[in-house]
Amino acid sequence: MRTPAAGAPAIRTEGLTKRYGTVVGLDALDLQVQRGEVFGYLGPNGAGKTTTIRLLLGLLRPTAGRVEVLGVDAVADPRRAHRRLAYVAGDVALWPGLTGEETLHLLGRVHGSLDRAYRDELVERFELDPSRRVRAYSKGNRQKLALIGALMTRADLLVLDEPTAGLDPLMEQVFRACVREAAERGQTVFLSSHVLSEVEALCGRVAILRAGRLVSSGTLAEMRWDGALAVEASFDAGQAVPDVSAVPGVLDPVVDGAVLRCRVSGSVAPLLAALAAAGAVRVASREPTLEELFLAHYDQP
Amino acid sequence: MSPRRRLPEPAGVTRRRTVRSALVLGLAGGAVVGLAAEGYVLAYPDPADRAVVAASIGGNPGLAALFGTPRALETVAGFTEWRVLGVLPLVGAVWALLAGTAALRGEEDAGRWDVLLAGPRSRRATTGWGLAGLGLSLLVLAVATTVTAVGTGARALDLAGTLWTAAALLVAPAVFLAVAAVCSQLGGTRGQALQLGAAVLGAAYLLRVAGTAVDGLEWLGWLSPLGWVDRVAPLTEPDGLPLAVAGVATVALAGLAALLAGRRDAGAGLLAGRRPPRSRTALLSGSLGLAARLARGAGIGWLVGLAVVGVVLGLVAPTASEALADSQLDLGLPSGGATGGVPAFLGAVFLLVTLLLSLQAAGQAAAARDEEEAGRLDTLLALPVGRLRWLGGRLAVGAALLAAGGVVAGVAAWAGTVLGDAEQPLGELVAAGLTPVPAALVVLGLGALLLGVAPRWTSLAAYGYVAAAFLLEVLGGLFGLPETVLGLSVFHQVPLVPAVDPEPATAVATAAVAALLAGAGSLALVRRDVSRD
Repeated sequence: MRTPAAGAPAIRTEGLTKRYGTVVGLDALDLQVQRGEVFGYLGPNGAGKTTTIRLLLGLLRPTAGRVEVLGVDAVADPRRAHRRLAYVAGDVALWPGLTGEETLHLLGRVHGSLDRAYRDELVERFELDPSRRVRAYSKGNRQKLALIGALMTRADLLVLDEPTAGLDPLMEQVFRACVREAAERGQTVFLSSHVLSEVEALCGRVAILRAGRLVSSGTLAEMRWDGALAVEASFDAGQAVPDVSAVPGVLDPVVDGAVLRCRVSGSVAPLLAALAAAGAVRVASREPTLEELFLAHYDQP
Repeated sequence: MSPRRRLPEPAGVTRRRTVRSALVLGLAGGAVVGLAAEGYVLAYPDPADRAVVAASIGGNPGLAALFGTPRALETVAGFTEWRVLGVLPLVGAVWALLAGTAALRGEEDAGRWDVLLAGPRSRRATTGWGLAGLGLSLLVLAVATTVTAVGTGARALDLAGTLWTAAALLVAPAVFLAVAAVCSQLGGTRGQALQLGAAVLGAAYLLRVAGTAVDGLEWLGWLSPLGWVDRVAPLTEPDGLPLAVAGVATVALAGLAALLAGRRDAGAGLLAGRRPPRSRTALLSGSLGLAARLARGAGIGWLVGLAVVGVVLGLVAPTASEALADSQLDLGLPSGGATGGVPAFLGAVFLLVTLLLSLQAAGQAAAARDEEEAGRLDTLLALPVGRLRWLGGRLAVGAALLAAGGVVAGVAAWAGTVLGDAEQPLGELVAAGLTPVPAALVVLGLGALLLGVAPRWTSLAAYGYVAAAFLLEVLGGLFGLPETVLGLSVFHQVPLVPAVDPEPATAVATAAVAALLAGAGSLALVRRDVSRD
């Protein structure tokens, strides 16, 4: 049997496109997720995150383009790809008549790889009572069950589609710890989310999707570097706050009493010169948060 | 997520799904009224023929037991009444149970009601909205039935009688929608609710049979909604009292359902086990085992139902078959009468077994689609399970269940004949039970094809085909329809074993058609998107 190239990326798409009639679900997506990274996949509802994941899983047939998972063509041979990945849906669908224990047994047996000790540890850590039927679980408990089912396989690639919807903050912490452990073990995690704090805490690289198109991708550091710096300058009372709107690189200046707030893209030197000339007493700057980066992409028409 | 997602609005969901099927059922049912009358005129133009029909059917307690009380069979009105009311209420009741439990329980099982219950609406109000949706479907059914019956029956039937008939035809759907509503509160899942409803329908049918067949027990008919239908006698001696009883029962049961709905937890049933569940993992090692596990509960209930039907058919066979030798007119019995008696009767009434097997086959296809619609297929296919293996496992389990059903029906009928002191050879009756299996496999194959090419229509089209095929077989003979048309019904492909010898060649050919359909469905399935809507 041909083994997938060891160096192949965990996920690679080329011009991946999905149309539903005239509606574009995903438009020529080029994406690479390297082995061992925790990759954040961001976008508001309806941007195409779930469509991407269902294409990765071979559940949808692409209209055009290619998608490879761990070096295996996900459309032609999904079964081979799926032996090495595990998936958690945002809208978990399990068999209501099975108990938690039966569900985990089924998922483990059908997947083919299972770390029993880790499964038991996860059940403990997520505080799940596996003796109840799925129909009797709350949404959060169903989510936990699906997460345990995926994590216990120790699969090379974890595909998680908004996996923490319905989890309480404590369980969210457990989830984050588990993702970090998976990454330390060399597993790749593809995390689709719109919880920006979660992505910021876990992910090395991020891609932002908007209306089926990739609008930005890179490491958080790179994206921050490219993103506009937030600058806040204070002046003494009675001092005139300068008009910096004509200074190169300055965006959205706002004057609030003796405080000037603005964003700067590119070099800050022209702004600093202007502020110094105007006699600013305090200047603070910080890198944009992921939320600001995210919103910046969506503010554009 | 794909761009079109349905909103969780129960009355709306109920409306869309049920109204569509109610419309189809109403149009078909209404047309059957007119067609049965026209067919009688065509088939038996002169009074002498009609007298023969009336004498042979009217004098046969077995036929009366199975299809209801015959009145004035020598008239167009009387024959139409007997033929139509003997068959359509069963179809209507099955529709009502499927539609009612789907609307009031299927939505909830899929978790779509949780969203609503989280809002200001109470469970009782939500159930009330679901009931309102079903009421609307019933209205659509009533209008469609009435208009079509009046339109098609205008030449052969008088208007008043036709309107009475349309009213009588609404009794079973209305009462059983309400029964489904109550069962939806009692059962822990839609499957359990459906089983409870099927048990009520079975009991109603048996009460009606006993009330019609046994002298002195006529009052039993008043305990059965199907007995009420029988007593309306719309075209011969119309009586409003049974209609009123049915109306009161429907309203009372619907009210009871709303009341019970306020007393149970979401996702639970009043009769659902209080014991903590025990995990049984024996079957859960692959998609085939999972399919077997998922089919187990409902499958066992269905087999028990088939066994009861088999025993009853075997029991009534000796008395019913006595007068049957003369009544070959439209039951499609083999001519000659050499093999008359019990085998001839059983050969004819095993049509009921074919119907139950075909309904199960349609149910298996609907369950496969439900797995996809609820998103559980996503979960399974994200594991190393191919689509073909999933569908293959489901079809294999379905086929095995159908074969088991055939054996159970045969053995049960044999046991019935033993109890009724008219023992038949066990082998022959098991062969009779297995004879409809290839036909039911065709329905299963058709379901697979629908799942592949028109997944959203799987349930409606599979059940719809069974209903249409059944009516075509039961009523089509009246019109002298060409063999090619009659042959479109799988029921027509079932030899009347034990009245005739089994036909292995027919069985193999029929099974081959089933395999072709399933194969085509599989090819289509691997080439399409897996879709929740």
